[in-house]
Amino acid sequence: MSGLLFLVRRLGQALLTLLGVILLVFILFNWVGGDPATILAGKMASAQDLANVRHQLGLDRPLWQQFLDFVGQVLRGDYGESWSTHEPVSAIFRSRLGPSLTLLIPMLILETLVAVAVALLVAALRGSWLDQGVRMVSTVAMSISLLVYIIVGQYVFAYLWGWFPVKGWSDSVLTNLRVYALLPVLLGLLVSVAPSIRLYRSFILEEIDQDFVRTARAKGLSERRILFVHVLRNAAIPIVTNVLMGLPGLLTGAFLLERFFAIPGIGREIILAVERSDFPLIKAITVYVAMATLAVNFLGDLCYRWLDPRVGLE
Amino acid sequence: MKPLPLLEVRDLEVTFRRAGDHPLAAVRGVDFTVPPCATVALVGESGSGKSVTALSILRLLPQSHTHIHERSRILWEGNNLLEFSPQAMRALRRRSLGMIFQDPQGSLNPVFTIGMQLGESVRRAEGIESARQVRQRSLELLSQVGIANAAARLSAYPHQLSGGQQQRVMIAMAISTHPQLLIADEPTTALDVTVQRQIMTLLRELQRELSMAILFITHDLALVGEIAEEVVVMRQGRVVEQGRCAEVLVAPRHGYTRALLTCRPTLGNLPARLPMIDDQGELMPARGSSGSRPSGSLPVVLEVTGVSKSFVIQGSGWRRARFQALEPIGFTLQAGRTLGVVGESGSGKSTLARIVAGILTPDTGQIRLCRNGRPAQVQMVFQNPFASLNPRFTVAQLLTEPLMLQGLGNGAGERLELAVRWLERVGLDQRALNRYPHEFSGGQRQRIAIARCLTVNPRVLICDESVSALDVSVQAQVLNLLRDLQDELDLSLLFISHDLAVVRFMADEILVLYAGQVVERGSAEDLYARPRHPYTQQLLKAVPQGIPLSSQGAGA
Amino acid sequence: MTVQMDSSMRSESAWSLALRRLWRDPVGRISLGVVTFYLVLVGMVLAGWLGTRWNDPVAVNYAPPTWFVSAANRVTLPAGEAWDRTLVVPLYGWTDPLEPLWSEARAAAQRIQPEPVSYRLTLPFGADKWGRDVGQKVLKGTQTSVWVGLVAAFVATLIGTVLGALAGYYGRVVDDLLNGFYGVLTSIPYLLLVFAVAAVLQQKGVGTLILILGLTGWTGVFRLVRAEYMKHRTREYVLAAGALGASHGRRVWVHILPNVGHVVLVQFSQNLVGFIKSEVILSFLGFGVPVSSVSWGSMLNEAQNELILGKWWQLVVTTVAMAVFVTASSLLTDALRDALDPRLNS
Repeated sequence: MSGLLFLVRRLGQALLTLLGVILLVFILFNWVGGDPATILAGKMASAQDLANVRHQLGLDRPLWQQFLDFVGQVLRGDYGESWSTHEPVSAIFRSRLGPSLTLLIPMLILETLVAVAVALLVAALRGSWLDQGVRMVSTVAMSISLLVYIIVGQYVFAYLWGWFPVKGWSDSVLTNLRVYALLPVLLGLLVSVAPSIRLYRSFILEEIDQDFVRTARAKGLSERRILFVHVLRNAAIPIVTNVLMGLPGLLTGAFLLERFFAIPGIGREIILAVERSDFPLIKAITVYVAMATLAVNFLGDLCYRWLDPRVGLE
Repeated sequence: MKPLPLLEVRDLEVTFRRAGDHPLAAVRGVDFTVPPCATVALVGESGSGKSVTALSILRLLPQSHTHIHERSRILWEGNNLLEFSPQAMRALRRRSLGMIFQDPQGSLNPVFTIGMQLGESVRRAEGIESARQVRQRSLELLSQVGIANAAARLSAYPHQLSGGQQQRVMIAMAISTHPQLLIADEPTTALDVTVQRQIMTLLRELQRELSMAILFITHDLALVGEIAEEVVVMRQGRVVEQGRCAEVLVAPRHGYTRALLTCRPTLGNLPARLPMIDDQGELMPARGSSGSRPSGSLPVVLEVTGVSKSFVIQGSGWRRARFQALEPIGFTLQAGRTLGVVGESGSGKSTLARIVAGILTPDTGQIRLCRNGRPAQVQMVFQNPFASLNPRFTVAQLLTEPLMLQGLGNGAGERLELAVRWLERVGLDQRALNRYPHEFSGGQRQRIAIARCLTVNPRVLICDESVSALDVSVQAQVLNLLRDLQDELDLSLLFISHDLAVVRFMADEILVLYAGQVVERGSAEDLYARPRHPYTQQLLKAVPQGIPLSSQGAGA
Repeated sequence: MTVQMDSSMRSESAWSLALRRLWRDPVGRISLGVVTFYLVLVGMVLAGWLGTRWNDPVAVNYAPPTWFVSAANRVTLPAGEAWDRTLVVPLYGWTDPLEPLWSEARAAAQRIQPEPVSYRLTLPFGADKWGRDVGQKVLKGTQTSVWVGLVAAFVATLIGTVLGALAGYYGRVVDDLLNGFYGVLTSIPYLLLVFAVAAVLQQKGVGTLILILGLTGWTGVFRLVRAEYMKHRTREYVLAAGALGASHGRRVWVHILPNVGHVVLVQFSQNLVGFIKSEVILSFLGFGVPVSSVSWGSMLNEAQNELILGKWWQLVVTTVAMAVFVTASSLLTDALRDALDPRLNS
C-alpha cells in the first residue's frame, strides 16, 4: 500500500472515531444522564425556571439539532461557559494544559528510560535471583493502590521530612520543574514503572527466544552484541508503540497527583468538574483528551510502520 | 591410513530437564566421526535426537534446561569442545564452524537488511575491515551461492526474499569464513522439491570448492545418497547403524534402516500395500489385499466444472489487490477411484480441496456430488492432525458429534456404538473413547480424524497433505489404511500432496497444478512415464533419487 | 454390543491438567489459597456472619491498636450524653425556635433510661474518628471492594467475550462496527471515561459502581478474544466441524470458546484487580460508595486525614488488606496463564 494512501485511510479512520466519541459524549450527557436542566437549575427550581434553563441550553429543540450544535461546538473549539465558574470552557482547558504537560513529559521520559534499562537487565539474566526478585517486588509494588504511594509519599517526604514542598505551583516552568513537580514526578514514576518493566521484559524475552538469536550465536557474535543489536532492535517495535499508546494511561496517574499536590492541571480540573456536575467542562475535556489520544495513536502507528520493515511505509 | 578426524562425538548423552516432570533423555550415547572434507549424514525420524546432537556440537542448546553427561566428549581436532570456555567456543564458531537451519525465514533477523547480517559474518574473517572490503566480500559470497542481482539484494530485508533465496543467504553467512565444518540441520525440509534440488546441488558444489566437511541432518533417506559419503542412522536417541553410504543404503544390516528404505513409496516401486515398522523398529512385511484397482466405466460421484477462486491479499475498501489462487478448473471423479493432485506451495491445491469440501465458496463454477442420483457426502482429512481435532473434546465427543449433527443413530447409546465401530475400523479400540487428542501420537490422531470423517458415510474423501506431517514409518500405516478403507467402502479419494512418490502410490489419475492452473493431467502411469509439460518434467527430475535403483527391492 | 464407559479410564481434560499444574506450582498454590480465603470472607460478610457491626462506635475516638489487652480496657460513659449537651449557640436574647422539640426529645430520652455504654480503650486494629472498630470496617470494606470487583469483572468479561467472539468470528461488517465502537471507547482514557459516566449518573452506590466499571471495562477482553477468534476461525478443527455440519453458532460457542477459555479466565482475573483499583480511586474521590457504606477507597479517604494527626492504623490495615489480595490475585493470574498455556498440552 502506498504511504499516502495509508495516511489518508488512517486519518479518515481517526476522524470517524472522533465522530463516534462526540456521539458517545452527546448520548451520555444529553440522554443517559437525564435532563441536565434539573442539575443546572438546582433542586428548588420551579417549572418555569426549568423551562427557562431548558430554552437557554437549547434542550427544547429536537435531539438531532442539539447534536449538530454539539458538533459545531467541537469544530469551533467553543464549548460555552462553565456552569460553575462561568469562564469559557476552552480558556480553562488552555490554561490547565501547561501544568499537566510539565508533569507528564518528564514522567514519560524517565519512566521509559528506567523501565527499558531494568527490563533489559532482568531479561538478560532470566531466571536469576535478580530477575525473580524484581518480578516479585514489582508484583507487590503494583498491588498497592497508587493512592497509598501518594498519601504516604506526601506525608513522609514533604510533611515530615520537608524535602519537598507539600503542595503548590508557580508561574515559572523552571521553578515548577525544579521545586513543585519534583515529588509528584518521582511518585508517578514509582507507580508506573513496575508494570512497564514487566511488559518490556516480556517483549524482550519474546525476541530472545527467536531463531535468529540462535543464528547470531552460531555466527559467534558476542552476547552483548546479540542483546543490544539483534534483540533490542526487534523489541523496540512494541516498546516504542507501547510508550506512545500508553501516554493516555499516564494521564490517569496525573489526575490524582494534580489533586493531591494542588497542581492546576487538567486532571484536577476534571475531578472538580465531576464534583460540581459541570457538564460543559467534562464534555470539553473528554473530547479534547480523545483528540489527543487519537493523535498519539496515529503517531504510534506511523512509528510502528517506520520501525518494522515487514510492514513498511511504502 | 585414516586421517585425523575433524570431529569426533563420543558417548554423547543429552537430557532435558523439565519443570515438575521427569527428565527426558533426548540423546542416549551417540558415537560418530566426521573426517576432514567429508560429508556425513545424520538420519532419523522425529524424536531420534539428530537435531539435538547437532546443536550440542555448536553448544547452542539452552543451558538452563539441558544437561550433557560428564562422560560425553565432543572432540574438535582432538580437543574436547565441552570443556571450552565461552570465549574459546565463540572463537571456534566465528572461524571454523558454520550452521544452517531448517527455517531460514525465522533464522534471519527480520528488521535488518541482508547486507547488515551478511556483513556481520564477513567481518569475522581476517583482513576484512573497511566497509568497502566488507561489501566487496558480501557481493562475492552472494554470487557464489547463486543469488542474482546481488547488489540490490544487499539492501533487501529477509521477508522480501523467497524461501530458497533466504536459505542461500544463510549458506553465504555460514561459509563466509571458509569453515572447516558446515552443519546443515534439515536445510531443505521447509522448501519445495524443485528448490530443494537447487540447494542440494549448491551444497555439493560448495563442499568441493571450499573443501569443507558437512554434517547433513535429515529425515529423508533419499536425500542422503545424493550428498553423503557416510551415514549415521538414529532412532530414539541411539545410533542403530552407521557406515559408508554405498553399503548402508544398498545392503542395510539393521532392520530399522531396511524398514526406512522400503516403507516409503518411491517412483519406481509400486506395491499394493507398503511394508511397515513395528514398535521394535523392525520391518513388518506388507499385507492386505492386492486386489486390482477398479477400472472401466464407473459411476461418477464428483463433477467439478469451471471452479475458480481469488483472494484479497492486501487492504480493504476501495483499493483491493486480488490474487487469483485458482483459475477455472474442471474434473470428474469416479466411484472407488483416486484422483491425485500434485503441486508446490502456492499452486492452489489446498484452495481446490477446501472448495470441494464446501469450506470455501468458489467465485465461479459448480460442484456436483451424486451417487445413484442421490446427494452424496464429501469429507476432508486435514494436513495437521494436531490442529484438526478439537483439543477440548474427548474422542467420544469428536466421533459422536457429527452423528448427532447429521441425525444418524438413535440416541446417545447407539451413536457411541457407531463411534466405537469406526474407531475399531481405523485400528484403535474403545479405550480411546474417553481420552483427549493430546494423549495420542500424530499417526493415531490422523486415524481418529479419518474415523470422524467416516462416521457420516461419505462417498468422497479429500486428503489434503494428510500424511505430509507424519514420519515415514507412520505415513506408511496411514497410506495402507486409506487403501484398505477405499477397497472396503468403495470410497473415492481426492488425494492432494506435494510428494510425487506418495501421489504415485495412491492415485489412478493425476492433475498437476502450477500457479493455480492445471498444466498437465492424465493417468498416473502415463504421466510419470512420459511427462509432457516442462514443469512436470522438472518436478519429476527434482525428486531425490539418491538411492541406487538396485537397492530398492532389498528389504522386501 | 454395548459400550462401557469405564470411569477409571476417564482421562484428564486440558482443564484438569492445568489445575494440577497450578497446584504443583507453590506460588500458584499459595496465591490460590489466599484468594480463596478472601472469597470465603466476602461470602461470610455477605451472609451477615461477619463485619455486621462495622458502623457501631465501640471504642473511644482513635483507640490505638493493641494486641495485649489489660483487664481495664474499658471506659464507661454515661448514656444519653448527647441529649444533655446544652447548645452553645449564642441566641442574643431570642428564644431558640427549636426549644420545644429539644425538650420533647430530652423527655423521651429520660423515659427510655438507657444503660450506660462502655467503650473500649484499645482494639486489635484500632478505631477511627468515631470510635468504630477498624477490624470490622476492613472486613466490610473488603466485602464491598472485592464484590464490586467480582461482579463488574463478570459483567465486563461477559460483554467483552460475546462481542469479541462475534467480531472475531464473523469479521466484515460485524467486525467493522464492533471494532469501531471499541476504537471510540479506547480513545477516551479509562479513568476519564469512568469519571464522565459517574458524573452523568448522579447517584452513588454499589450497583452504579458495578455498572460503570462493567460497561466501560470490557475493551481489553474484547481485543484479546477477538484476536483469538480471528486466529481460531481458520484453524483446521473449526473447518472440520463446519464440514461435518456444525452451524456457525455451534462453532463459535461449543468448539472455539473452550479453546479460548484460558484467555477469558486470565482476562477476568486481570479485570478483577483493575476494577478493584478503580473502585478504590472512585470511592476515595467520593464518586463511589455512598457514606452509608464502606470500602477500601472510602477507608483510605478517612485514613489520609488521620495520617496527618499521626493515626496511622486505618491506613496500614486497609493497605495491607488490599495489597495481600491484589498481590495474590496477580500471582494467581500469572500462575493461571502459565498453567493454562495450551502449548504445554502437546
